[in-house]
Amino acid sequence: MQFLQPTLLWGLLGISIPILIHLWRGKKGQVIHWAAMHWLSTQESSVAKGFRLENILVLLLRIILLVLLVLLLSQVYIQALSKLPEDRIIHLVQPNNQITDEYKFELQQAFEKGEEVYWADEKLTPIESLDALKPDGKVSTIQASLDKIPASATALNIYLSNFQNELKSEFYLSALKPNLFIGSSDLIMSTKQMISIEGGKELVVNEVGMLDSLSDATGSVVSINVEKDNFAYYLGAISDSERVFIQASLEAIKDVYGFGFVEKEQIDEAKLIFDSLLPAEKNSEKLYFISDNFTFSEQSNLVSFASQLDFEHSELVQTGKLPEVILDRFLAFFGVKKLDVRLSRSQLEQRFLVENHKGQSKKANLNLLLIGLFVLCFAAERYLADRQGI
Amino acid sequence: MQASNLEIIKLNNLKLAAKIISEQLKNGVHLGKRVGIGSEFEQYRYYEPGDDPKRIDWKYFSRSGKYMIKESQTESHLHIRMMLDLSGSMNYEEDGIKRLAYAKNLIASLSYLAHQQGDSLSYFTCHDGNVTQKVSASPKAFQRILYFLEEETASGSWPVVKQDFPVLKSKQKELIILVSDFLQKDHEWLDIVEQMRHPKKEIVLFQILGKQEEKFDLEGNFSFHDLESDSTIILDGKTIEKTYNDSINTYLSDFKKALRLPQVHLFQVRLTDSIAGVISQFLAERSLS
Repeated sequence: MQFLQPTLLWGLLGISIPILIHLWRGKKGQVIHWAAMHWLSTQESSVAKGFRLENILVLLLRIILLVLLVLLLSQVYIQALSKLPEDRIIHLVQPNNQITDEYKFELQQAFEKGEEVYWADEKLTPIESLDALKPDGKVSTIQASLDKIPASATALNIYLSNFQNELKSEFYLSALKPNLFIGSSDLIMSTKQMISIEGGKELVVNEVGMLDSLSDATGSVVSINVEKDNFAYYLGAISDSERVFIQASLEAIKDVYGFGFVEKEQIDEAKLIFDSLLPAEKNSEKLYFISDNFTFSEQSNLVSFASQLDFEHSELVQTGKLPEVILDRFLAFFGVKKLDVRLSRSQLEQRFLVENHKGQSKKANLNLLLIGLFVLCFAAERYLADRQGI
Repeated sequence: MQASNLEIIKLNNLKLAAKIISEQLKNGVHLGKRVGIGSEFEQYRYYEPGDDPKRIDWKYFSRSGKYMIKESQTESHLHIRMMLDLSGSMNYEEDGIKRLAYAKNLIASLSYLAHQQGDSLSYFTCHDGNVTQKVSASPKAFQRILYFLEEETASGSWPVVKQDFPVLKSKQKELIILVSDFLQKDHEWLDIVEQMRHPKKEIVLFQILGKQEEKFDLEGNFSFHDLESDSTIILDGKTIEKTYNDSINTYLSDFKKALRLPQVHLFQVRLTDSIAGVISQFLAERSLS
């Protein structure tokens, strides 16, 4: 037995009210019009001492009434009375060869037990058997599949790879707390990326995804060559203070990584364009940074900032992150891929937010019984009280 | 089917109640109605052998040539004086039956019986230390008694000091019926009875008491509110039970002893006793004496 609203149990203190009333009434006594006063001895104070409860039955009924009311309001829940739904385990498999290979055994067991196995795609496509376990062309959308999971499910197993790039959005909302089965082996070896700039300088994206100027190039290396004219930039219609900050940022990048950014007077000659207006014609060869202009850009070569890029307005400038953002977009533009970062189990688990509405789904299953008892007690109490004239 | 006291009192119609009660008495109604010589004409009937020839109405014979006898209802020579105590203690109520209502119905029923018998009736009340004659003897006395009884309410108390009531001291032959609770603080009622006593008079006292008054057995705290004054005492029923019962029993038996006088009859009646039963007991005792 548990209470869904335990705070209301303080209402039980209300039981003292009828007891006090009955005590008080007992003390006060019933008025009786008496003729033979002369024969009542008044010498001894014969008022009843101590507690005397009048009309015990009515009092009991009133206490029971209050208890029932409190139980009703505090939503008594008795586990045994409500039938537990049968276990319904749902397996959600991310369409990924690595995962299906790794958890073949577990999935096979799930099929043998007749449990439901689905692809974690938009339609929550069911997987009928082990043979159909081929994730060709399926797009992994974990959130959409989580949304489609039936409410009657009691357990959720998610087979998931642990690479950041595979997990699309930051957090997932799930009705159930998922059991995560994470792909453990990193079969996909990421190829190293190298950026070579003029002057024979080479930069390498190292294992932790950082750009490193020290090359320990072993194995296959994908080299990305960045031409000199790629570092040409053009400053458009932007304020003087913005100009200063942008130039300082580019200067900082140059200091660290040796990218020789050069300012150009003509917009055609430049690859990087800083402007406050959206470009009239977009050249896919160029990378645009648009400040003080709030747009949701769909193009990969357009970066827009909501505010002016000066110290007063932009948070990026205040926190000194502007060079980082520029470099990030710059590298992405030239095809440097982000390294997949592996996520630990606890990190993954934190990604799954469990909507905790399990409590509400518990219905107070005694309500009808309590209401019935309450009505019965009330009727009995009224009848008795009326008969005794209280 | 016998009507209960509560039903009779709830009728709130003394005439009807009196009829119902007297009908419950097997031998009450027609006994006293005798036909004979009297002043009020009732009917003519044929002369039959054995009748006194003096009774033949000769004027009627001269008119019609028939021997007819003039009959009238025999007049009883008994005078009945009804007396009702109207002090506040008469308002005592138990189980929905008020002492005053019981007394009213008792007097109405007795008056009805007396009226049927042709006895002359008068009616007195004792209220606030005065004995007042409300109805004097007359042929219409019964109706007038009922009229006054309907209106009567009890209040106040009866003074303890001894008083003289000349109106009670008549020396004619009569039957006095006094209805009260006779819960006297001193012996005020005994004084009145003493004043009324006379060899020619017969005194019948009806003492109406409640069950709890005679034998208290309620439990719990009670706030006893005096009916004759405004005083209130809160007492526990269980603790006073014994002392109260002892003292009231002593009082009642002493009172009964004090009234062991010639020509005085005391009837101690409970509110639960049926009125018809009380009257039949009274009639039975009277016919024996």
